Amino acid sequence: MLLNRESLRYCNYRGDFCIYSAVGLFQMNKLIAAILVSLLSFPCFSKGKEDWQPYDLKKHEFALSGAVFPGRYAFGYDFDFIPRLYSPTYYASVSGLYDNAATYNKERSTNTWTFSYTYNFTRIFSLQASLSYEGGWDEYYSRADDSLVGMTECHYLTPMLTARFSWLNRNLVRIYSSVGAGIAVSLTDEYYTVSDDGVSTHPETYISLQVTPVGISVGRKLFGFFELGVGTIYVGGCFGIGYRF
Amino acid sequence: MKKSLYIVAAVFMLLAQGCVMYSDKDEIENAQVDVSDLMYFNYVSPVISMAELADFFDRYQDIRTDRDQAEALARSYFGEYFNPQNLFYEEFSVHPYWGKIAVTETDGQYLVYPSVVRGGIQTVYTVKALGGRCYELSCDATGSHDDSWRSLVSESMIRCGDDGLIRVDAMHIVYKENSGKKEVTVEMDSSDGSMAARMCCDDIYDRYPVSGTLGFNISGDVTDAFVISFHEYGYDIVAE
Repeated sequence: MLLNRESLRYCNYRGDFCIYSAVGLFQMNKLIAAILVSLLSFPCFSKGKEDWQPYDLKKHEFALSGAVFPGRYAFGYDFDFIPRLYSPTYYASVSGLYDNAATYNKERSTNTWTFSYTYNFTRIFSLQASLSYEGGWDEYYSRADDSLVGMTECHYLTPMLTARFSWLNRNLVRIYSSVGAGIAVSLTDEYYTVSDDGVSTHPETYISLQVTPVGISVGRKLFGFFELGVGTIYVGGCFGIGYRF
Repeated sequence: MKKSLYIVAAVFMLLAQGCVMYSDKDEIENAQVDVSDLMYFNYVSPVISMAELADFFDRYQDIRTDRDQAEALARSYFGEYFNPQNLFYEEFSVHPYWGKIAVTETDGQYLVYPSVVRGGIQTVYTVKALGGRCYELSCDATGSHDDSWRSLVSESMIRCGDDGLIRVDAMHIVYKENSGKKEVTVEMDSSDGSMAARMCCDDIYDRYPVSGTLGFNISGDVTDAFVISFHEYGYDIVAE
């Protein structure tokens, strides 16, 4: 009963019509019953549980996603591992301070882009192999005329293996959590080793971890998804599309 | 379906634009502030501290056999920074602001290794006690192996007064650097005798002078000239 006596009394204190009477209450009940009947007549409300299609487990998934905030930047690569625009003594030198005052810098990022393949072992557990890319530029501009004076850059490729646990499975909607580990390979940072053959350079590698407390995918074969997570792939949100078969 | 694809495409395009994560375009940069900061804390302030250290150590030599009196004198200079375990007849150190002082074979002449605050040139100063709590401090750090790209020549005359002030009668510092691309010389001068700083007393360490001026003349690939005017509540930079 949506309306009680007190509220009805309040609604009708001017006495326009006497809904407070037993006849009035009966008429209200009829009205509510009529609304319920008409609602239940719609197909979406009237379908019984047995009418839902059985869960259709597709074994394979491919997906492409973009994410902000980029993880390696969030955890601070800050362009520190690469040769500076000026000499190593730049920040301790008087000329460096004057150069620095004459320029301003912008740090730009590509955000993080990931291509992934997922194999669904069961409706709950699946493993995902992915390759992520993140890039950034630190650009120096002249304060006098805004011209580009110099630039340093960082680029990372991160192969990662992720375990995913779906804790809500419907044909259209799935909600899941995941945790992944991988190695970020830098395309710009290098380290040196010296051997009898001479000096050789190698790309720097970093451990990469990603935790996604909650992700939601919507769709059947073609689906979109959104995840919230923290790690060296991204810190924040991830948005993508994929295909199951 | 089409509407969904449009939304997806729009979000991807937005992400593909990338992000400007940081920019200091709107920050006010003043190289004179940065340079005076770098020079003052590495090469001017240590000279004042070293004069204070030498003033104590010179007076200490006369009373060093009386340990209690010596420690009381040290506490009056350095307060909580004083560590009795670092006080010896021939050597004394106070960290982090002052450094280490040691006697030499010449009476009234000491060697001081200043505490380096911000990665300045690590060098040794010679301090001569001239009497009347007046000290001559000098160093010549040219051609050092550790700092082949920069050099320092410093000469100062400093007096410690009974009024708790350290007065710079004369100071002339020449700093040179070759950072690889640019050669720069910075000359700092305060010769009018007006620059004065408080001695450390009651554990209050304040290394900015309370009066006087310090002139900067920068030459070479960068040219600039300005004067720092110290006062009770800070300092001002005046372009010449």
